[in-house]
Amino acid sequence: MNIPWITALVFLPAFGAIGLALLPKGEDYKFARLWSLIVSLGTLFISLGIAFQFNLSDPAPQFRESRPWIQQLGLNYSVSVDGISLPLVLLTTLLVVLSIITSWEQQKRPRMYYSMVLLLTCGVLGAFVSEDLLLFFLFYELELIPLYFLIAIWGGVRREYAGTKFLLYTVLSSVFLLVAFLSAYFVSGLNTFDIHALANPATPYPIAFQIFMLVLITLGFGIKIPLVPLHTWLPDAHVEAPTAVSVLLAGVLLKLGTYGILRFGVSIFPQAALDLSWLLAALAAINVVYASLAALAQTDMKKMIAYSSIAHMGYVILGVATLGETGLQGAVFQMISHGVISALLFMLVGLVYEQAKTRDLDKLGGLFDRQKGLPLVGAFMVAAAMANAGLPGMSGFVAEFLVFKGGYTQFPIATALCIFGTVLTAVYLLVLLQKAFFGSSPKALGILPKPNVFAYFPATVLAFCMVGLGLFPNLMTDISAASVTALAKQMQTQQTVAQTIQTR
Amino acid sequence: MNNADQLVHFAWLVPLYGALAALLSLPWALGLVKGQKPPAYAGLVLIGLGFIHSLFALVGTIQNPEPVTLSLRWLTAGDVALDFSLLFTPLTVGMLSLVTGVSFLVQVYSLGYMRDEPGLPRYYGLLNFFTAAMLGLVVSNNLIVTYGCWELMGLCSYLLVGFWFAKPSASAAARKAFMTTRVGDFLLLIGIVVLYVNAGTLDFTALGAWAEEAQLAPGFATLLTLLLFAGPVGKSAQFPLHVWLPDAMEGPTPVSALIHAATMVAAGVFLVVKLEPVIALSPLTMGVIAWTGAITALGAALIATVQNDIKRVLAYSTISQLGYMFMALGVGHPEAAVFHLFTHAFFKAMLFLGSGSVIHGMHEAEHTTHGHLDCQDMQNMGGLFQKMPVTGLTFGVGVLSIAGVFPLAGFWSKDSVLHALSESPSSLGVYSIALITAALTAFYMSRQFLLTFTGKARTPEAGMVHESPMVMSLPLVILMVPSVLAGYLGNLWFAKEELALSVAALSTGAVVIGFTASFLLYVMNLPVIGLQRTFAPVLQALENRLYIDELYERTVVSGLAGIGVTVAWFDKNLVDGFVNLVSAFFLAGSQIFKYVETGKTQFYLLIVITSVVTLGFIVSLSMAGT
Repeated sequence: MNIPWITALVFLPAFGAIGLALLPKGEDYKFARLWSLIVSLGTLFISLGIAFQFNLSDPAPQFRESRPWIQQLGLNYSVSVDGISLPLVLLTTLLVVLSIITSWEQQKRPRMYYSMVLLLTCGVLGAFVSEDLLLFFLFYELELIPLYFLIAIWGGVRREYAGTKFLLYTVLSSVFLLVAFLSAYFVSGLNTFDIHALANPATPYPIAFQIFMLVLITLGFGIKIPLVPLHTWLPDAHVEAPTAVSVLLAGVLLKLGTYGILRFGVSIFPQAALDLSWLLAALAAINVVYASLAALAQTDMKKMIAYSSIAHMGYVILGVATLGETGLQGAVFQMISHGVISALLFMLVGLVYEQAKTRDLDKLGGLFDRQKGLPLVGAFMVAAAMANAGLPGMSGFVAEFLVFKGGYTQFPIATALCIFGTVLTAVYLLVLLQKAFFGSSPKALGILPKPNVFAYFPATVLAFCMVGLGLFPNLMTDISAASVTALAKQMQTQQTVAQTIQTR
Repeated sequence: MNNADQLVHFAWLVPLYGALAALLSLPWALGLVKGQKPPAYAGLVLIGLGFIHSLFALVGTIQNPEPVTLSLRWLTAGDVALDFSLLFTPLTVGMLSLVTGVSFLVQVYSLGYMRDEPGLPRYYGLLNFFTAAMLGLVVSNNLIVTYGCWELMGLCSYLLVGFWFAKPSASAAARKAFMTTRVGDFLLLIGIVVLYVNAGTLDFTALGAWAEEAQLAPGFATLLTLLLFAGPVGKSAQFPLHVWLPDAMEGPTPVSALIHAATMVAAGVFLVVKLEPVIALSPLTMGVIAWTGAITALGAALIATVQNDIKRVLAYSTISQLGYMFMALGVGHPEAAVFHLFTHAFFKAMLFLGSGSVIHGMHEAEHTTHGHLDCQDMQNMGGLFQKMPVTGLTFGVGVLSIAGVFPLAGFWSKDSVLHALSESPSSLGVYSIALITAALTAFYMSRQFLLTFTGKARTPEAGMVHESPMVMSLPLVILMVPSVLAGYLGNLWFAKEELALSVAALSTGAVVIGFTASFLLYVMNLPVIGLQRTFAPVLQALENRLYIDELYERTVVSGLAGIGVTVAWFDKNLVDGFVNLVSAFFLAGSQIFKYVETGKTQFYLLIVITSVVTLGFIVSLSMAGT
């Protein structure tokens, strides 16, 4: 029997969204949330099923489905997973379930809210499994719309500003990408958007064209990651977005950027990647140091975490820039680790905000207090902060160590700066802990109500993932190993080819 | 395989006892289950079990000193292949017994000292986590495992120093402890990465083999080893990263005993011992280590001479004694360093617990008088020996031992360090500093004893103090035994050479000078006002810890905060400002041009006609031009 697992994975949430939208208006939020929880759990199980059947030793795309769609355009519906996309798919399906649980009490326009979340899921999953540039682009755009609504309708006070800023930035990103994809289509002359075909052209692309393409793609995805100085939409979006949306935004959506650079930039234009890797490394170091320094001075907890999230995406970039096996493994690991840790941090900030009604570090204090504060949130926060600062035994350290090990031989200075970033991370997270959790609780705060025990469930799951991946990192590296090795080999052959050309 | 061998093979369980105790205490510590004592008892039982296990294992390893290793694959990715590997030798198993033993006594003591503490479960959980991390570090045979335990200890010390989180001074001290050590740790991590890239392994045994044949450029070797040494500088509170340790006494006193004796600060020494073959690649770094130890030992001893806080004196004395260990390491005598680490653990734990007993007594007295005085200030004490004979006696033995009085434990280990220094031809400077420090140690420790326990009570509270309960005084008495006798045991294990009589004579002379000076000043009360006047600026500088803390506060701390504010301003106003400017430009543009869109056909026609006419004009003009 041949079940199209990937198609089921991608479109189950879409059908869930449509079904929810078609339901009569009178249904209350309890039904909507249950519906979407079931749908997202279904998606999670499908992705787990795929993971269990996944052949770890095969570097090629698996569960492949490919059909011509609009042949005149060269558009194929071809989807698959490999060792690089599968972890991201798993991360997405898990975080969607958890974010639905996080917004369990959300009652404002529930049908639309959950439809948007499910539609977003469809877009993100589709983007991760696409093997076709145009198909990817469609999913990439599809994810944009629900996210805009999620910020602009369910957001905070300045939600419209933040939503519009996000929309405009991402549209700009799409423009760069579309230009790049179309150029690839026309210059290759292959009449296809298939990435495997594009990656192996009959005659190699001229190097100038490759560099032009990689710059465009880096600009396009750089907005998404985000790379400094294209990042200012993100703190605003996070500050305004509801917790569950921040979780998805930081946990999954940013990874579209790094994944895109890896899959559509580096893999298709390896020669340019080799030439420009120093630039990527420099951008990585700038991201880490600049965003960490900016985080130092924030007084809004959520904004601080948002800058932290930007800074830690820099490690992924450094890993990608190495173009070697160790660094790339680190990059993939860091994508997952960042997804788990930053999602957890945003959840915890959300819990504090829900109870204290403020995120201002100058107004918070003494949250460790057993009677008045949120000691359990505090315990999770300490763990998440330490994981973020690269404490061994948690996922962040493994990822960072691999990235640093891979990065040092090629970019010692950028790597040292990135390691210095772990000190800066500790500085601002310790400030956060000291101001919000240590000390005595200010009178104005009063006695905070304790959240429902159920509210800790998502954080507990993420904390387990964080520690589990830190203690048993091979769970993760085994999945990505084969594909990453293949990619690294491809880079190596490119390099030797380039060297032989040069020596001639 | 006999039973003792079995115990050695299962010695990996010892760190797990601590970890298990920490995990067990979680539900109580997080407030999910009500109750105070269960985690404390769980900790006592499990760590006690760990102590017994490691003692038997120690017997096993001594009978059969063949090293036992245990290795599990931890991470494979690319060219990274790291194992979780442990090594059991007489030395590491001996350290296991030491750490579990001290931790057990600290936990017993804490039952009394922390009796009324509502956060008791959290306290015991952290204590056990801390112990487990140190145990893991002791037996780790791999730099990455060591680094992991090392960082976990940093986390635990952060949470323990900040245990009374509501106190601003405690939370500041916790942050300071974590950040200061973190600075060293980040350099260490760079060092680990560089070492791994060059050596291709992080296994200590394999690193030793690699170091024998490694051909590194001298400059590179120095850089690499200095990076590696930066970690121990932070963790073991050596100059210039020593500033966190005196503040770390904001934590509960038994925690200080644990941090200063068997864990945390010992980790730095231990790491250098394990990395000795690698660090020996650079003679320059060895010199730096010796001199770092010397400067730290002397500076901390000088600062200790004028401190009035009973715990602060001990904190600086720890820094100073660690300096001795690094001096020995720097001249290539790790066995002397470990010897001193071993004896120091006993008497320093005893001294700290003794000071805790004094503070506890002062607090109780303060409760009855409803007074408000600094219970840690030795100027408020005096004459406590009659009131607290057990504490006084054990503290006195500790003072004699740390000062290095024959035949107590401290004498043997300190002389082994001095002996190592005296034999090293290039370290005459370090050696003389070590001797001066020995005199200073005798001076400030006896000063502390005299101020606290002898003379008249200087406050009413000091006159009302009672001896602490059995559960606190018993650990003191138990610790007194190794503080007296550990030297003989250590001589069997560590000492390589016979003790030179000249070194012993010199060091004893130094001790006598120190004791005499404090006797003259604090018992005879010699009038020294003239001297005090002349040395007033020096004394003031010492009282202010040579202004090093303040220097960091003014430069690094506020500098970093300033940079953060600047970057955030730049980000908000220039980067984001530019973005908003662009959007404002488009907004303004649309505001202007929207008036063109009137919806009146006549207006549009007018525009079309005007455009056509203008275009025609331009075209005809240009035609005419050609």
